[in-house]
Amino acid sequence: MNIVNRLTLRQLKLNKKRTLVTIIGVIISAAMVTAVATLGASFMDLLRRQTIATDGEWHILYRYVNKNQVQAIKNDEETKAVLLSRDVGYSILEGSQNKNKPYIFVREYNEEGFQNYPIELKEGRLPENSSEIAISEAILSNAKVDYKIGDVLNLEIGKRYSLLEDYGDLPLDQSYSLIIDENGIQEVVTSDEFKEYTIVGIIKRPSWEPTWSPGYTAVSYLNENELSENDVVNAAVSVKKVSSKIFDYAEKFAEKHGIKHVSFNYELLRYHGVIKSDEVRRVLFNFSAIIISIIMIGSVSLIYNAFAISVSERSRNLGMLSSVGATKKQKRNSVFFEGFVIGLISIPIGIISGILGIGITFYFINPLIKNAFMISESLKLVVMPTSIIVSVIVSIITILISTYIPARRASNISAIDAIRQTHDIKITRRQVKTSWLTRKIFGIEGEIGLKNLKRNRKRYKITVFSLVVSMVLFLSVSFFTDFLEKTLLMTQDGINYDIEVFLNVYDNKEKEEIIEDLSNLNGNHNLAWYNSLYLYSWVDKELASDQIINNPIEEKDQKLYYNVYLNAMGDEALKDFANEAGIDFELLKNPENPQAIVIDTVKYRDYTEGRYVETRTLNVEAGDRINIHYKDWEQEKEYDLAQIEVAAYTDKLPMGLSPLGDSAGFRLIVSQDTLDRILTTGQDINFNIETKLYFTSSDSLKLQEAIEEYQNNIGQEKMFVFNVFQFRQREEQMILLMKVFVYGFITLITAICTANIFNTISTNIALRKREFAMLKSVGMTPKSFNKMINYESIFYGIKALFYGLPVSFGVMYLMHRSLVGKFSFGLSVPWFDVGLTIAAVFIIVGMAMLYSGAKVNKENIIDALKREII
Amino acid sequence: MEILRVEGLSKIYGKGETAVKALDNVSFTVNKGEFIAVVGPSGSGKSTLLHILGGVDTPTSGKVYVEDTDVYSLDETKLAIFRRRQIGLIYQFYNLIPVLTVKENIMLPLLLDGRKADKGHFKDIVNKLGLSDRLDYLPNQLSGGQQQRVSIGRALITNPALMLADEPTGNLDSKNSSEIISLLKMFNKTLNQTLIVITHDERIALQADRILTIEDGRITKDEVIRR
Repeated sequence: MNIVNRLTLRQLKLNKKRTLVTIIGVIISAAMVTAVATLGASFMDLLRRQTIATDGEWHILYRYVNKNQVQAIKNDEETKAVLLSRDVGYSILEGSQNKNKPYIFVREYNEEGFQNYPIELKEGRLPENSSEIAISEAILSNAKVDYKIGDVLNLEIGKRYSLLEDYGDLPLDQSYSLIIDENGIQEVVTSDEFKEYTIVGIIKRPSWEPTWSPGYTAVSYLNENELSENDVVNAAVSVKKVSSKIFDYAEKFAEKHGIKHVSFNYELLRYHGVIKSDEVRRVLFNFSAIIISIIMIGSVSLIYNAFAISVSERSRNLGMLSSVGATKKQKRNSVFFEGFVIGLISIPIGIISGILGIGITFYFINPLIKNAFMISESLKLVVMPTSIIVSVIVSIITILISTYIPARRASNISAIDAIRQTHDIKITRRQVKTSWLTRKIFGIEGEIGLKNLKRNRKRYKITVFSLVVSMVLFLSVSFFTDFLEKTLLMTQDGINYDIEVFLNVYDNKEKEEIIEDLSNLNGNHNLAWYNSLYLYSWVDKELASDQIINNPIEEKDQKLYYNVYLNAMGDEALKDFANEAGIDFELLKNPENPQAIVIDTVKYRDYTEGRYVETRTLNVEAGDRINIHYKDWEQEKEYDLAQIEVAAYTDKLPMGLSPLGDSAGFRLIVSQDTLDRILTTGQDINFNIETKLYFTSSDSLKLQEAIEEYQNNIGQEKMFVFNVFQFRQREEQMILLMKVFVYGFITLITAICTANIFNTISTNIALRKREFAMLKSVGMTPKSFNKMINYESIFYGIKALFYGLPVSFGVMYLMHRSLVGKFSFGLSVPWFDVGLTIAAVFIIVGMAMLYSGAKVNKENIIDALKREII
Repeated sequence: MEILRVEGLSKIYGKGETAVKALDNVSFTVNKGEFIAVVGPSGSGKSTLLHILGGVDTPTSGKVYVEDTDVYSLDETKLAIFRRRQIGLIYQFYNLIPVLTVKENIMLPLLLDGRKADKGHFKDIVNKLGLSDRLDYLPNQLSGGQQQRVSIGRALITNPALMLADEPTGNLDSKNSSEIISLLKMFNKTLNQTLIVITHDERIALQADRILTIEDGRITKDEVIRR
């Protein structure tokens, strides 16, 4: 090692504390970059495994290939596994209780197919030859056909064809639901072959079977050796090495072997990152680039600062070296060498701690992730060589950028500069000018403090910049998470139930049965159901509220247009609600005179005024009459339905109904009897009645399971179950998850910035030791000294806030503007976080100042005075 | 009138075998208005003595009375206040505050004390120091001689009981040196300002009323110059 480097090393050892701060800075920065890269890789891996779990592990799909082509695919050197499958066809499922699922659908797989497609065995075993079969458990639970393992099935198998012209003359597959119209089933199944199968196992309903499919899945074994020359199968291939060349390769291969249909598993390939010009990849890439640049800005400002300080402290040494003949290059390289040594220590530690850190994080968030993203796979720590290489390169670049200017400065230090130490004293009067007010308000201590800040602008700026970066990051991110939480609250506003069930059934009798069954389900729950119809009304002007009179949607013959939401309830729930609204329930049951409870309080956002309005839209009393009309949009026909008498009006809402967001609308709550009566007036608008059920429960998960079990029994397609409670929980977990990462990130950036601030301020103070000693020698008391130090901190803080707050508010405003399209509400500043930030700024600076100041304060005046004179 | 009394002053640096006696049982008194030169070889203890008199260093044993105040019985805060009111220190390297103007540097002890300067007194000093047209300059815009005059101004502004100068001309050329000494002497005479100057320069020492010679931490000679 040459003498210059030896001297550099010695200097680093001498300044242990600063070297340590620099090392910590580089460690944090390398750790963060590694963490970001590892996080990305691990998420890709998670998505990849999740895709495999739902769709199977394959990359290329060659369809309709014959025996020879299969052989060619097998022999190809890129092929890892060939998953063969063949749709044997449909057969009538004798005894199916589900009118929409009358078939059994048989598909065959080879060994590799069973291994790589997501087929989950529930009982028994998978088929091992072409006369064995495993059936979906839905055949037992949903179709209610009592098959057992060991039973023999004799199936007449064929293809589905539609009888209607709209569907063309191609066979239909599982993605087409049963074709059925008012005349009954409009499709046939051909009789192509007879097969005898022995049931050997029961599988779970496969994830690739659509809920609306007409056939229950059954899988059998595909023996490729038994294939005849004319048989065609589908061959899904998983390749040995996934790269972006896969597309060209597969297409060329298909062409060469005469395969006509090639497709790809884009989902899976996307998560392998091999789809070029892919939106997901682009977003991911941009996102990582932004995060890594933020990390780099933070760390460069710290590391640069550390090196700059180091050079200015070493300038005397460098000058001496220069006076005995060190070249510019030698001086410059001494700084790069310093960077090299620091990097050598910090980068490996940084990478290891980054991986460890993210691993520990995964451990804690894995349960959250599974729930929040509704996935079965868990996040595994994936460390790719690329992530490590990226981290190393980014860290090296960071150090290089940080050392470049200090190195150049070092190379320019001449012997005489160093001995005079002119660098730090070049100031002009204007630079340190302060207003007379400063002295008036803060005293001489404050004035000296402020002048000291102004003297070394570069350091001052770096400190302020570090503070501003942390501030802006923290505030904009907390604004964003606040925003998300608020939108969550917004979408949940007025929701007073846990589970919503939408019935996709149009037969009144069936509806009643389902409602009856659901209300008798086990579990502690309350149920309210509604048959709702969307209508309109022309309301007499004298019955309208001023709001609508002044601003009507449409006016005709002294009448105003209103949207009407007619909600019919079951008697029991209606009775409760009528009591609550204070009216006689019997009135609502009167068949001669249809009466309704009016809810005309609406809550909407007025865009011209930009605020929420809660107002009544009608001006009705009990006894007033309202006409309701129905419009059939398809046939462009309008019907007069009835004249409804207002029994009462209220602003209360029964369970499940939310406030209307319609500026000119109202709800009519009627009994089911009344609705039936209105509809017997001749028009068939049953198809437009929406039936919804709302549940509240102390154990919504258990209730959901019960509902879903029931749903399985009557048919998936008959109802949609929406667990609002779980949804809300999931959203909350998502936000929590995001917070973990986001605040983790902010904490580390703040750590870098804090280290930077400590570094700058303590050096700043250390360099001024002599001055402090002098001040004390002319009689500055320790109290005044502390006062001066405190004022300096305060000025730093004020300056940081001066830049940081406007920038943060600006960022918030921009974020608000770009986000607000989705949910409209006013810009609200997270004042608590702003307060927190302001406090944190002063605390960080104050601690740094006090720490360094205390050391100086203790020092002997004479020692300090003598030190730098020598 | 006695303004300074030093009794049995000792200062030992280090401990045990490596202990160095910088001052060894030094006692003397100084009357108001005296101009004393302290001479002696390097490392004899001159500067240590001066710093202890100025209240910036602490003695190992012994006492210092300035105008009957036992300086080292004061606590840190009181000592700082004592320094800014009773002592004017002048250093070889001026030790001005680089961010303050000439005027502010001179006024510094008063500013720290929260007092206003007597305008006449300030003007008088500035005029005598020849700094009236440099008041708004920063120290780094001045020559060495000018900077030293600023530090003299700073030492004088509070009318201190003692003005202590540690080789005030050590960093100056001979022309500036003699100017500084004449100034110090003038203030000594016109304001009856007590002045203790450490010097290597025999010509300066010979201008004093009394010369203390220190060798190995002891006063070996105490001569009064008669003119």
